[in-house]
Amino acid sequence: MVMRRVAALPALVVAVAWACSSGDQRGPAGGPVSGQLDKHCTLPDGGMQVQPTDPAACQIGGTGTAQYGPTLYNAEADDDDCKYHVKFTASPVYGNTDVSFILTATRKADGAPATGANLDAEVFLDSTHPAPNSNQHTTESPPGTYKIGPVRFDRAGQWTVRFHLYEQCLDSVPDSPHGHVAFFVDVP
Amino acid sequence: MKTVSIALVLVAACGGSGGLSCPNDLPQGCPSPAPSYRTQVAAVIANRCVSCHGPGGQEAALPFTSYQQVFNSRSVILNQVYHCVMPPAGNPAPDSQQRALLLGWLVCGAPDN
Repeated sequence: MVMRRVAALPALVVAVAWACSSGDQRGPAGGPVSGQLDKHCTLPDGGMQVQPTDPAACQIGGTGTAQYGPTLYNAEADDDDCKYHVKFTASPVYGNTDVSFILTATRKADGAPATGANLDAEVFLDSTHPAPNSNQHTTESPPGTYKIGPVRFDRAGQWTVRFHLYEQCLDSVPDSPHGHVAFFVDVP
Repeated sequence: MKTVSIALVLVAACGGSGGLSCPNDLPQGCPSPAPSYRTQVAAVIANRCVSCHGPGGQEAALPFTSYQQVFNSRSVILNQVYHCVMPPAGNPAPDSQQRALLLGWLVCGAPDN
């Protein structure tokens, strides 16, 4: 009996090793949700609405809570106030896994990188369930490109990720650098 | 004592979820009974938020002086208070009891109770 158990041990080890190395067992990753293209900055005549920003209009003093636009589909859009154009990618999105986002932001007025934007991500499933605190931090490299994370989605569903740029600036004047845009992210 | 100190150092070094300064204390569901807006939560908001989110404050454009105003911003308030973004640095934060009341009420859907 003992000999049989000993003989079975290598097979068990091999089976466990195979199970652990045979690809991702979690199924397809989630990510940005495909849908209607964002056109909220497109004017009826086909032109583009552009809100220039002025660093001098940044009044420090709060986090600048603001009126937000709707949450958008896909992974590229203009921000709610047509100040910036943003694109993002995400590391594979699974529940209860650290996810990071890489976001590139350019000013719509001149196409220049939005540098030093102090990027922040507000992440929530619905109005009663934000993502857990996860020591989120941001790095910028190259200028105007930000990596932010970790973000932890602790439930499956269609989450909202709202990126905030220059949130330290009050949103009290139109040309404040403060910007924000939200996207749907699917979590399997 | 030494064991506790070592544990705290390890938690800090490992970047414990939410960090040491902002607790991961979101209620997993609506507390029972739900905190009352009128008798409990309104006072917390008046005490911690309205100096800015009220007449003459720097966020006066987004006032929190009525239930409806607070309700309309419930999602943002929950996110920002839970993640310790609000109140901003330099302003007194709600104590643990106030925080539990506010977060619990918001997780309940911010009822007018």
